[in-house]
Amino acid sequence: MAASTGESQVNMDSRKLDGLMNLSGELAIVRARYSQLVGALVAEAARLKGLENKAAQARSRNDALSKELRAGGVKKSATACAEMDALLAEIASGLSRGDSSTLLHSLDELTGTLGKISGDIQTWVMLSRLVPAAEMLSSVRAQAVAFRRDAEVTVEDNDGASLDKRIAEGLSRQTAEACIALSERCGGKIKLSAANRDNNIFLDLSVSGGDFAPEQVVRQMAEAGMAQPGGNSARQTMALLLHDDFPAGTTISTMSAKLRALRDATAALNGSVELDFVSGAATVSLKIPLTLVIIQALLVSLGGESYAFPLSAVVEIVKTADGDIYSVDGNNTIKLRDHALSLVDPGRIIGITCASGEKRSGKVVVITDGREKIGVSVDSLIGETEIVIKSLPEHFAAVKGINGASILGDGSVALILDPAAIIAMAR
Amino acid sequence: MTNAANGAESALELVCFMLAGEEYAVDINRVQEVIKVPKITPVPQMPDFVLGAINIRGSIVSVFDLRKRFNLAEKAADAQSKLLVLNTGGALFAVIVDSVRENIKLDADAVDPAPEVKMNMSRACIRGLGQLGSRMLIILDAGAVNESIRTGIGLA
Repeated sequence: MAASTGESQVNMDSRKLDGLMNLSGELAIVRARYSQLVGALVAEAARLKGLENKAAQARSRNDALSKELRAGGVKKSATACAEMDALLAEIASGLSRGDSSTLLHSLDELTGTLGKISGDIQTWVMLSRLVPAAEMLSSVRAQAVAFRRDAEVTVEDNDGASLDKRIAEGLSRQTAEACIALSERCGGKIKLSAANRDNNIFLDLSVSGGDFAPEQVVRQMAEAGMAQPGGNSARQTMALLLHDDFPAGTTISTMSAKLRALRDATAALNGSVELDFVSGAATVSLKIPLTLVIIQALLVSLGGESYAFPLSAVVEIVKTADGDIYSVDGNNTIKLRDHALSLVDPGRIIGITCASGEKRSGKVVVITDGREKIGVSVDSLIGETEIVIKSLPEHFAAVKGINGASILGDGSVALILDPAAIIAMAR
Repeated sequence: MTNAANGAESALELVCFMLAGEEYAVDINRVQEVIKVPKITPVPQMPDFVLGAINIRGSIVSVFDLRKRFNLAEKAADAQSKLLVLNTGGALFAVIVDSVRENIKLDADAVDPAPEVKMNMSRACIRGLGQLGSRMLIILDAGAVNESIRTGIGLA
C-alpha cells in the first residue's frame, strides 16, 4: 500500500543531522562522566566498607575492654582504651573525609545536563520530521484542480515554511475539499500560502473571482429561521459558516460542511481556523502548533491496559458514586455542578472491556473536543506524563477512537485515545 | 521473487518454523528478526486473530496469530513460542509461531508448486512445498500472508 511505503522516508537537511550529531557527541561525554562518577562511587563504597571493618574491630576491642575492666586489669585496660581511641578517631576522620555529598552533587548536575541533551534531541528529531509546506500545498492544488478544471490555483511563495508530517497527512484532504467547496461559491481563483511563526504553521487559503458576499450567509440562515448572534463585520459573518446547525440544502451548505470538517481536523491537531472576507476574497486561516510529536498525556487504566488521553483535551477528573448516575433516554448522565454531563462507557463506544458493577472505580475523565464535553468512566488513573506520539501500523487504520500509540517506560505500548472521535461516536 | 540471477546457484534461504504440528518456512529476506513474545497491547475493534501491537525499537508493530487466521487448532503461547517479524517491503508485522527451527538453503529444484488438495493454510499464501530430506516444508509468501491479514481485518 502506498500509505505504508510512502511513510518510511524523510529528506533531512544536513544541518539537522549536524545538530543531532553534536548532541550524540555531548551524550557520549555525559556517558564518560557517568562512568567516572560510578568509578568514584565504587571507590567510596570500598572506603566505607573499610570503615565498617574498623568499626567492627572497635566493637570487639570494646568487648575485650569491658572484660578487662570487670577483671580489674587496669594496665591492660589503659592500653585497650588507647587502641579504642585510635580506632574511633580513625573512623570519625574517615567519615568526615567522605565525599559522598560532593559525588551526589555531581550526579545531580550530570542528570540535569542529560535532561537538557534529551530535550535538545527531542527538538532536533521533531525538526527532522518536518516536511516542506510546499509539498502539502501542491498536493492540495492537485486535488482541487482534479475536481474543478476551471480553478486557477496559485501556490504562493512560502519562504521555505515547513510542517510536521502528521499535519500534512492529517489536513491535506480536508484542506483540498474546503478549497473545492469554496471555489464552487466564491470563484475559481484560489491562492494557497504557508508560513512558520512562533512554533506554529500558518496555512492560508484565499478564494475569489465569484459574486459571493458574506451577506448571503446571514440571509440563508435567516431564511432557514435561524437567528444569528454576533456583530456585522465580515469576520463575524463568515464565522457563522462554522455554526454546527448551519441549515442544510442551501447554496452554501456544502461550503459550511466542508469548512466545519476542516475545522475539526485542525482541532484534532490542536490547531484553530479563522474565516474572513477581504476585498472580494473569502479567506481561511489555519494555525497549528508545530510541536505535535511530544504531548502531555493523562494515563489511565481501562480493562487492565494503559491508555493515554491528550492532556489538552482533559477538562477535569471527577469521582462519582452510583447514586450520582442518572439514566436519561437510556444514556448514563451525571450531574456536574448543576449541568448534565453524558457518561460514556469505553466498552460500548471503543470496545475496551472495563471493570463493571462492584469493581467500578467511579472515576470519570471529562474530555472535550473544544465544543462539547463528555465523561469517560475509567478503571483507574495512572498519572500525567509526557509521551511521544507514534503512528499506528496501517493494519489499525480503521480503529475508531484511537489515533496513535506511545511507548511507556517499561517498553510496552499504550494506545492514545482520540477525544474528538470518542465524542463524535457517543453522539 | 526467486533470485534466479545466479543460474545454477539459485537456492532459497529460508527460516523454518513450526505451526500447529506442521513445518513452515519463509524467505529469510522477509524476516527482519525473531524475538521472544513480549507483552502485547490489545487493539480494540479488531478480529480475534489480531493480537495487538508491540514496540520494536521505537516502532509500533502489529502482531497476528496465524492459527486463528487460518483456523488451525488453537494453542496458548508457551516458552517455545516466538514472534517472527516480517518485512514485506511495504508492511512490517509480526506473527506468533510455535517455535523457530534453523535457517536452511533449499535448491529451487526442490520446491514444488502447492498441490491442488485442500490445505489448512490459504493456498494464496503458499509459495510452494519444499523437500528437505524427509522434511516437507510449507513455504509461505510473506506478502500474500499480509494481504490475507488485511483481508481478514477488512482493509482489502
